[in-house]
Amino acid sequence: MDIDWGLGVPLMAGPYQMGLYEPSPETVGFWEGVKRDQLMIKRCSSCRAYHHPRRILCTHCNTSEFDWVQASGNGIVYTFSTVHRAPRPEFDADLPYTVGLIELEEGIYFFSRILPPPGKEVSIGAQVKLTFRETGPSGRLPAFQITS
Amino acid sequence: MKALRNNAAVIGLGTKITTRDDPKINSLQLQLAACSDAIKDAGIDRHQIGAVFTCRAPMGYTSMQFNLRVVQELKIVPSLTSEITVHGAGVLGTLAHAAMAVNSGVVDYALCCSGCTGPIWTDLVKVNASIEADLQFEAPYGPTTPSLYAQWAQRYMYEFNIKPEDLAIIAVENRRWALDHPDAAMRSKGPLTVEQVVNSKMLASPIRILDSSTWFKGGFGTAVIVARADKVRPEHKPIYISGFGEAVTHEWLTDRMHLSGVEPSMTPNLTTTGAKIAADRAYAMSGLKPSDIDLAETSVPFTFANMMALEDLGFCKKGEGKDFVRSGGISYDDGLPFNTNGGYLSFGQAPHGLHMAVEALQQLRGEAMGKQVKNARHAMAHFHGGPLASHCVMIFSNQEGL
Repeated sequence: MDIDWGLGVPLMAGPYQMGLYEPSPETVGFWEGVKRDQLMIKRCSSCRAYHHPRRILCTHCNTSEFDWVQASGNGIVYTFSTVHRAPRPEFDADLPYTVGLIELEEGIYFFSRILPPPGKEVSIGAQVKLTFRETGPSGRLPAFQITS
Repeated sequence: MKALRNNAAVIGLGTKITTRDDPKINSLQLQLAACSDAIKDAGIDRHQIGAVFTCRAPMGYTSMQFNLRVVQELKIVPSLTSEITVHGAGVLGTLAHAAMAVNSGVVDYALCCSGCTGPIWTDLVKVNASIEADLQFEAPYGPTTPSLYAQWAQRYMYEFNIKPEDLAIIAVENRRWALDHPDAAMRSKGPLTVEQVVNSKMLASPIRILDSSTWFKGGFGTAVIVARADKVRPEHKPIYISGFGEAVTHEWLTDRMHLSGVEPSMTPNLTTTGAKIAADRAYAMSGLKPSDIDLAETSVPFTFANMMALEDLGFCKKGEGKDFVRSGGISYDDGLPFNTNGGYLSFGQAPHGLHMAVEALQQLRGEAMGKQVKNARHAMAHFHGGPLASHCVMIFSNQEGL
């Protein structure tokens, strides 16, 4: 599944194009980072607060200029769910798998796959470290390995 | 806000149910059938309708401006029309906009309609997973709809030490109401036990299949005519809109954690929803308090979210939902009548359906199709759009003056 989110996705009704889904020049820096096995997040150029790669406005100082910075990759499990029935057959080979929110050291939350050590359970508060994994049909994506 | 209290009323109600056994109709046909009945029920001329509100286009009938499809078929020329696009909360949001429209004096009558026959036409499990997740930052990891709600459930159960058995009571009580309702999806399945719920198939931990809503057997179309109070006639069997409130905290789950406000509904957490703000506003507008509410209906689709809703809607304090439920707070026999048609878990989730508000309106008219709540005067309806993102709360009353 190779989508260039920078250019968006045409929404089609047969041969008729109804619109363009979410062309996202504001997230290009994140997806370029993924290609280098780096997790890139945003930092406000003015107040230097960290933000999710999606943000368009700094909610602390209302400016819209950001720098891309590499996240440390350290965080903890804020919450999670282990999926036993996949949304589409392309994810079936991964079952059961855990998705959840990681609270990154930088103070932002990132939705990802969470990988427990063999035979261990995922738990809230567990420490995690960034890794990259082939993920269902979505290609190589950031994921988090439990370390504690 | 008090100016809006009881100054608008539902004077016409139309519903249309279609199932897989019926001739296949689309969502637009479903809604127009309901519109036809609502207009007849209100006893007004079609051309007296000044405003038309729909929710966003049904999942089973995607179009660019669905409200114009409805207007085009009705062949009327409204001075005010819009899709109310606050996700699933928009179906009830239409009534809030209608109340504001008639009270502004711009129009005398407003038509609100909703309903989707999606389950008959397409795989809504697949569609739903795509619209509930951020396609760039969440969907690539393979979350299902239950697994997105489960993020809240996991955290909520962790912070307040809630056991699966506590949550299961909600499924059991919902099922008891469904057994009385002729249209409830799970009516034929018979009663449910806590043991059955906690041992049912795991979908996405900690959510099991019997913690989850079931799809309604087809489409549930609804149309409502709202009039300003001075247009109400005794033959209308009017149900007054006493108060309403709306709150939207996010679109995608991850963004719920990036709020930076001060109230519990606005700080980064997964234990309080925007229903708290919406309900507080509805109570303030109506002048009523939780103990005045005779029955409550919610559109949230999982047991944990029902418990959270009981807290956020004011029926118990935050964190006390499990004690409230365990001590019979929503007992079918003598608790708060809650989800009196069986709710999303046992009546079923009809996409874009206003069925939980229809249930409240029918109860207040004394026309319940299932068990009638005796002497009901005030009913609360809570509609939400997932995952617990947008909320609309409305308090209805069959009492003219408050």
